[in-house]
Amino acid sequence: MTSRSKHHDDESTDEHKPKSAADADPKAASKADKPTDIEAELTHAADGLLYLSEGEAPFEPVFKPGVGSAAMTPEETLKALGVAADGPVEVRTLDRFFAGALEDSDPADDTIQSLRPRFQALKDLLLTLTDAKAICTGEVDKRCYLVGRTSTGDLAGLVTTATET
Amino acid sequence: MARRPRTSSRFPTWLRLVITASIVILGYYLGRDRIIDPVPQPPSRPTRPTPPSAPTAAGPIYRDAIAFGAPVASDDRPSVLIRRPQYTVSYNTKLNVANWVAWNLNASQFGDAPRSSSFTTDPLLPDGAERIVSSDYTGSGYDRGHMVRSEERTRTPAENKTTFYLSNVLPQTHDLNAGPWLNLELFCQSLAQHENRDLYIVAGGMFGSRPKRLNGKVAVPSATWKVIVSLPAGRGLADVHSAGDLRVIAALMPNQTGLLKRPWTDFQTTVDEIERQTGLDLLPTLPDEIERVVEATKG
Repeated sequence: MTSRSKHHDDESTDEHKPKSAADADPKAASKADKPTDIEAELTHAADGLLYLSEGEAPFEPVFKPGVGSAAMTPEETLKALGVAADGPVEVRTLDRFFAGALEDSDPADDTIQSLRPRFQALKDLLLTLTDAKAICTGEVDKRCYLVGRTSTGDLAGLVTTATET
Repeated sequence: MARRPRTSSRFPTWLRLVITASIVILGYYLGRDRIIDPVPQPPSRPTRPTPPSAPTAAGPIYRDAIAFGAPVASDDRPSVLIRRPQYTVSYNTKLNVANWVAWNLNASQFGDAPRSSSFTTDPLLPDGAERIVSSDYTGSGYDRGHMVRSEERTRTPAENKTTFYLSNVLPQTHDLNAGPWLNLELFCQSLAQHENRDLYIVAGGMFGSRPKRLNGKVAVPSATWKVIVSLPAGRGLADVHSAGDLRVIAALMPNQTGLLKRPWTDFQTTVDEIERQTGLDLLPTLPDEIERVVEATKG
């Protein structure tokens, strides 16, 4: 799904906004660093796409250099990204995370079907990262970090929001 | 072992064969499976108490979603009834959303199945009905608001998927969906799981004469409402003999922003008020004298 402007008249509320510093600016962790190839590729691959749940949200890049090659727990990953867990932490495979846009997408929804190749390419790109997965934190508006490690020991990926009441 | 003396038959062999064959054929017809409607029909009169609804390994227990009667509209709004074990929908083919959704809720229906990953068109929509898709909501600023909550059908992935049919969804502001509407859903979950109640719920939207539309199709309600009949687990209409035998809770919530932190109780009202605003007669199978009391009272 690509982004369109909202045309809802009512004013929005603060509660739906990101809560951590990294949420407020998902690239905060990488500001001091030059964009890498994978960052640029992820940004390009996700440009204009929306993650659909009960709501919808864009994808934004996240990057943390120099985390090393050792496996990290979900909590360690969030900490490395400068994210304070906001509620329970849940790990999902990328297959499951993107199922709604791919295998389980509604055949009757032409818009979603037209975007399948882009979502497939995005998932495939994320899967080039080591130990790539979705780490979601929160109760209702869950911030989901789709991250893995690069061959040079950096943490790279995307963050979006899944609204699940 | 002593041999029993053989007794001579009074009937010829051919007659014994006919009698035996008749017994076999009769037994087959009496004992064979009957085709049963998977959705139980509401009894015309109370019959007998229903069994308790403790969680079972066998699966969820779905009681009749409209045991307290399908809401009756005071006008001729389009209404296509879609029945499945998980819930019943009265679908409005002009508004492209439900007039109402009714379902039973009890502890047996909660499990650990993962959430479905996508909202999809209801496969039981009648021919000719507009096919509403998830993309119709995209960019609108409205959430895809469940009537039957996803969590309430989590014994299997297949059960859960039914809650993601768009006939079970209304456009709700995020503040409503994630605020008092969710709080009321959590209250219902608590009644079902922790207070061992069987709930009979009906919910829907309230629409003006020219509602806003998403993508030119999906009507946006000005408010969403819910009516909950709460009984001890396993009890139903047959067990209701006075107003004290059931609790009826009603809430009507505006479809606006700015509600996120409001408790659902701020929007509690009477069934009479919802009936007045929606033009629906709710809980029509309750005995009249009980209906008058519970529908005028904030439960």
